[in-house]
Amino acid sequence: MIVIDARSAARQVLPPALGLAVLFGAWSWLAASGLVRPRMLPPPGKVWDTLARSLDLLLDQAGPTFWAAVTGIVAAALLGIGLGIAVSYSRRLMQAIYPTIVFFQLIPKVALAPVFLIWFGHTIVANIVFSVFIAFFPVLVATIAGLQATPPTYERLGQSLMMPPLRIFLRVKLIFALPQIFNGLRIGVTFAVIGVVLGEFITAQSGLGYIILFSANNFETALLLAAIVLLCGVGIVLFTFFLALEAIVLRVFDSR
Amino acid sequence: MISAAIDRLVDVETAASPSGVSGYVAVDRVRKIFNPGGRHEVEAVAPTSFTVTSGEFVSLLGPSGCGKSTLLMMVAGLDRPSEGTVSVAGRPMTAPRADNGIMFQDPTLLPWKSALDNVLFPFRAMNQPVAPHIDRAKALLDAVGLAGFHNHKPRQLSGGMRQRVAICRALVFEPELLLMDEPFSALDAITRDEMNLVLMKMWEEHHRTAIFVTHSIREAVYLSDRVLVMSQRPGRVIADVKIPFARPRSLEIEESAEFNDICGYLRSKIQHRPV
Repeated sequence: MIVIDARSAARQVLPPALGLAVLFGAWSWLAASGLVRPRMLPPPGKVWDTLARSLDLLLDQAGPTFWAAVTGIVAAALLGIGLGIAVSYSRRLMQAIYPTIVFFQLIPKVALAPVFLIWFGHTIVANIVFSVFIAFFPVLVATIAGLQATPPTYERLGQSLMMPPLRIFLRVKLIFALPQIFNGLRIGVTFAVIGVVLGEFITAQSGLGYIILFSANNFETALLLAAIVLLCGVGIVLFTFFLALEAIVLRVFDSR
Repeated sequence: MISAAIDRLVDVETAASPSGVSGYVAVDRVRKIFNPGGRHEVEAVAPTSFTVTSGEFVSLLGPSGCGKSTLLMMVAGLDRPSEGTVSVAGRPMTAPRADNGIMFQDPTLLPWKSALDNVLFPFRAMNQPVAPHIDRAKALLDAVGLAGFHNHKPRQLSGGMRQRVAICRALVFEPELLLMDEPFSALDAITRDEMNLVLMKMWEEHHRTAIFVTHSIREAVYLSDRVLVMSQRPGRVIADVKIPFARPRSLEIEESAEFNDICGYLRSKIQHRPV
């Protein structure tokens, strides 16, 4: 059993590891060959050195980015799920606000970022609001779709058992919607990180986005890449947290 | 070909609408129109009346789309008649009641709950304590042949087993009236025979009043004390046929000449659309 498990694990891990190795190999070779100047693309070793040397600074700046993204996705989840529920239960409300929401989503969101800057100033609040604005939409759409996933006879069953609508919702419909809602949250969490970083680009006060902007302006490419590595870490931590949450919740409420 | 024996057993066509009907279930000149006044107005059930006495097993038999399920939903209180009244146990049926057990074509089990928890779901739904009913729920599952499957999730059970769980769920709070909407129509023929046996066994043990909607003539005859034949849409009851076989019934009665005569008679009553 263990042998087979190890083999299947190897089969899982090997292809991405190989892909990563090829990428790093090409990067090292390109940097060493002299074809590109180190200022354009420093070798991986230099990025690693910079990361180690500037870790304190980078972690300091990763904090605001991380917590802004956490606040962003939590607020986006509450807003998206709440609005999705409200819209699913009121046809009027759906007709009244859904087209507007979709319309705002069709605007390239970066174009709206300066507006948030005017409203909220050069603060972390602007970053968070921007993050929520980008991340709530996939959650909203997924919630609406999920609440339509309950087969109609289940509602009849609930009515025949004299369940009040709220109890039908909590004990049946919401649980049938969970897999879809988690799909939305998974997309939402990546969007939340993007939103925060975009916000940091524009408010230019703090955060990894600010470091990236700052080092690009000073041609500190190694620092820039080190900040990106840390940004990946922030994204991975958040994404993994939601994957774990999904696995735990869907183990109990498995509606397959 | 209707034999003399059948003639004797068969009620006359129910042309008369018994006003002030008595019976455990009384359907009095009930009519159902969907989207009244709208562009898609449909008369699903034409004014129709029938009664079911306490402890009786009655089938509603008719072609698909004839409104028999709609009629059943009105008896369940899940749908309101456009005209006429439905009353159960002498009280008009305006909303679902706790003394109805209901089964749908789909088992409608909650996928995240075990078989046992699904059987107990009505108590949770009604916000009642579950503990006092666990033993009865287990006994019901054992009785339908699901001993050893109490903790299985619905996806681990076959289609027939899921409907067995649904039977238990409908019976767990000992309803006076059992309403079944084509519960076995999605099952294969062999499983269906099996389910008919299970249902018969459970019904004979618990002896509730039962209304069973089906489009299978043989199933209706095998299970019922009476079969009500419905017309094409807009559906109304056009024949009321007593089924004389003694209970308990074995599947072998389906081979008897009398059984087949009754089936033949019912078939002649069902209006088929001209091809």
